[in-house]
Amino acid sequence: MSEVSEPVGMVLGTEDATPLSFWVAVSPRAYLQLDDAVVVDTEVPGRGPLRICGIVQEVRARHEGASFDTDVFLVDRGVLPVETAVAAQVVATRFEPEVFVPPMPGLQAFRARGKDRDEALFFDQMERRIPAGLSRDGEAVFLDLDFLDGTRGAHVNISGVSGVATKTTYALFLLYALFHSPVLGPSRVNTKAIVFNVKGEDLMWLDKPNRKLSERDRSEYELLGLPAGAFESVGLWAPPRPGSAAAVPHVEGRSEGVAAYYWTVREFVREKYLRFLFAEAEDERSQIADLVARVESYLDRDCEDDPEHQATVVFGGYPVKDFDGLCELIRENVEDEHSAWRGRLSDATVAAFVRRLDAGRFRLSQNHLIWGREAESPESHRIDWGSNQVTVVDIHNLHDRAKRFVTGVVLKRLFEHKERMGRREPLAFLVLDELNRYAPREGWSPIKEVLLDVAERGRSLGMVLIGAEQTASEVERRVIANSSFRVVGRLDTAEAQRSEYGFLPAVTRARASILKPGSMILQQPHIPIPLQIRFPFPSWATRADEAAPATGEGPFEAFSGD
Amino acid sequence: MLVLRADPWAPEYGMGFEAAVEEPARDTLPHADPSVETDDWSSPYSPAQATPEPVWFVDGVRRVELRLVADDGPRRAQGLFGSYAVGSVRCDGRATFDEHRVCRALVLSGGLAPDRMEVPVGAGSLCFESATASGTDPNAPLQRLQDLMRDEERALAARLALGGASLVLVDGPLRLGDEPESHAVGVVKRFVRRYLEPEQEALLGRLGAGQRTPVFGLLDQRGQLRGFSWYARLSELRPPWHDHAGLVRCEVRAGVGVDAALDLAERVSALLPGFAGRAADPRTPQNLAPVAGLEDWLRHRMGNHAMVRRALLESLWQGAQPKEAEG
Repeated sequence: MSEVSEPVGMVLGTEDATPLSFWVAVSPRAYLQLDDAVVVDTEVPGRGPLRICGIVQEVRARHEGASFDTDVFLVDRGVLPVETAVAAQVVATRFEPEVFVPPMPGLQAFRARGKDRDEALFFDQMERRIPAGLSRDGEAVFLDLDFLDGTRGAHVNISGVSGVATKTTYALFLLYALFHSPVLGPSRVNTKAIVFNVKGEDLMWLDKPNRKLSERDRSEYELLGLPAGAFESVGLWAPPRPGSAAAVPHVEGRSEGVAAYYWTVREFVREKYLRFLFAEAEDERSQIADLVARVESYLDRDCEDDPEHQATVVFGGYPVKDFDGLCELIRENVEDEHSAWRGRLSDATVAAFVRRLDAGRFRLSQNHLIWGREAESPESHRIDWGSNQVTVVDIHNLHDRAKRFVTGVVLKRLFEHKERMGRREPLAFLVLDELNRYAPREGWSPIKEVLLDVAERGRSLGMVLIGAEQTASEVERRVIANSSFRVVGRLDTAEAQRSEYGFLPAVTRARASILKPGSMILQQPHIPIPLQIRFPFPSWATRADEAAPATGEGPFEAFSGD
Repeated sequence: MLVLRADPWAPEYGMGFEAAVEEPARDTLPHADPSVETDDWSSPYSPAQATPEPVWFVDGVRRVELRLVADDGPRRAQGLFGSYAVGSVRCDGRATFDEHRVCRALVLSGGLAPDRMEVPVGAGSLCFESATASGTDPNAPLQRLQDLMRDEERALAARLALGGASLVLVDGPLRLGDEPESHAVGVVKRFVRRYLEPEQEALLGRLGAGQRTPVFGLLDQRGQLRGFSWYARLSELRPPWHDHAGLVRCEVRAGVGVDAALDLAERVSALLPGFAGRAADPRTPQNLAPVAGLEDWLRHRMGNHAMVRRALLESLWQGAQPKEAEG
């Protein structure tokens, strides 16, 4: 790619040129396409030289001199003479120095390359930058780490239609870029990320290089200054296989390298996880939530550690041997009219509490997420995000209630951990899809509370949320408003019209509904208009067949020679 | 029975058929010799399918920028600032604008000869060349402007022919007089004069698209052969139209000779329907599509009328009135 900007046309005078937007007539021997960076140099009387940088937002071509739609057929037959005019609308991104005057018609416009392009896209002002993908003309696009790590902002929000928008893959690409570029410096080792695997087993192969990566893909990684390979340090966690006496991970695709996670009855009591059994969104903080809080504190106060087993507790002299026992204990105490646990709450509230407790208990037991005396070495099954850079927590097999429980517990633990540390670094990243489920716009839930905390205080605590959802309109406004980076993949046409996407100009909204997988629209604080980017094919495996060793033969190829 | 039929032109352009219906005295007008090609005017000629060849269309446009009254001592005359532009379109499978020229003139009637005048407009300036119209008819300056444009058209057609253009169609009648010899074909849109006797003219209503009448000679008042001419139809006659709609009259100079004239009649009549004006054109179909495109383009090149007019007024206001030639 050339490093020298090339002339492409002139600022035209038939449309108003304003400081924020102007049109460039494209010369017949050149072209401008959407998202090209353009620079115009001029001289302001009394102020000296001025450079206006911008990005092409619309390009149009038309026949000049044709007045009827059918004229095009006459032109084609060589009957009607016309001239073909191509013009590009440029939205200004930068004035250097800041003198907000329009470029004069007749000024030469250049396609920005090299240094000029960095200037137009503010890359020259990003001291610490991470590759965010490639522009459509194949050049690197960066994002400013200052706005991601909490220095000046934090959080990323990604919206898009499920399946086509490649939201999770892009989130992982960002993580990959972060962990494999030198920008984090010495703190890179201690920077952690937790990723929830909500769909299929796509993320259970992050530690394996993708053998389907082509040479072209590799060259794109090279262009971005990234190695093409797998995530260096990955911990994989899956729920235990239901019905199995030992804690074996419940995954289909791979047998090694995955650990099973669960929590113990004692942790459940001591860490106050009960609330995450009641994690559906409610209209507001109901009386049930009060009862949950009461029960949590009574449990913690009245239970003693079981001297015979590290996973269990003792209540009133009797050991609570498993999760069922614990739930029975709770039930008995809240249904007992004379128990202090229920306080003055009505029977109806208690009945509702018990109904939900039973539902949650059924789901958690089904997935065997809380272990009692059957636990052999609970500490090795506690999700440990400290020992690997990326920790994948698989929840795709779980029932909705169990998903909420796991997500809520992990979030709470991570947030409390960061709160205790009391400093920003090392950073912790959290990748969470289906934000609309966990932080819905309407209603209250304990997970939403934690997520709001992360969104609003995570910046100073060094906890960065990379959240994704199909529809930003269904996610709590404050979660989205606190995101420095907004990313949009393929959007449903109706969804794209909602005010949550007000940062997308009309043309870009229309483009959002035709984006291909692998293409995103990225809005970042530095650049006043969103850029369409694409990111390279994952260099880590996302399926079993991509993870097979590249050098040897595939699992079936050995048989094909017979 | 009374039959009403439509003329396809937009009313503000007059009528495609404007010939006086009552026959004036024949000897004051040029008339035709219908027997140049044949004496048999019973059926149309159907030229063979046109072989594709490059063809040039030449046309001009003019515009009065500002009308004037000029006083030279006791003498008073009318005049105008006018602009005119002539240009050409080359059609050879693609239609492209070819050579063109924009001219401006300051025309006074009554024999007054102004100086050329330089008028600043915006960052540049326009130069109005001096021109004189004889006579004091109020329309004389406009007629002079029209003549200047026609001269320029002729010059352009001649340049094209010199440059190797094999077929040049000029919009409007040629001046069939003391002209240099040229193969240019004039294509006349408006039917203003009847050249033929009723028994020959009856054939016009029966022409189909791409067909033509036999070639006839055009004679001046003294009976001298000045040119050859024929009628051709551009598009099929539609039911509401009168039978002279959609016709053009083509003419070539006598100097080309009968054989060349017949050859041109064949080629031009066959290719014209392909260039017929768009249905939405106010002078459909006679205003040929390349010519319509060229006219718009040329008008645009004369500049913005309001700007030029304002610049002229300002120039006159500042006392830069044209100095009238002394004696």
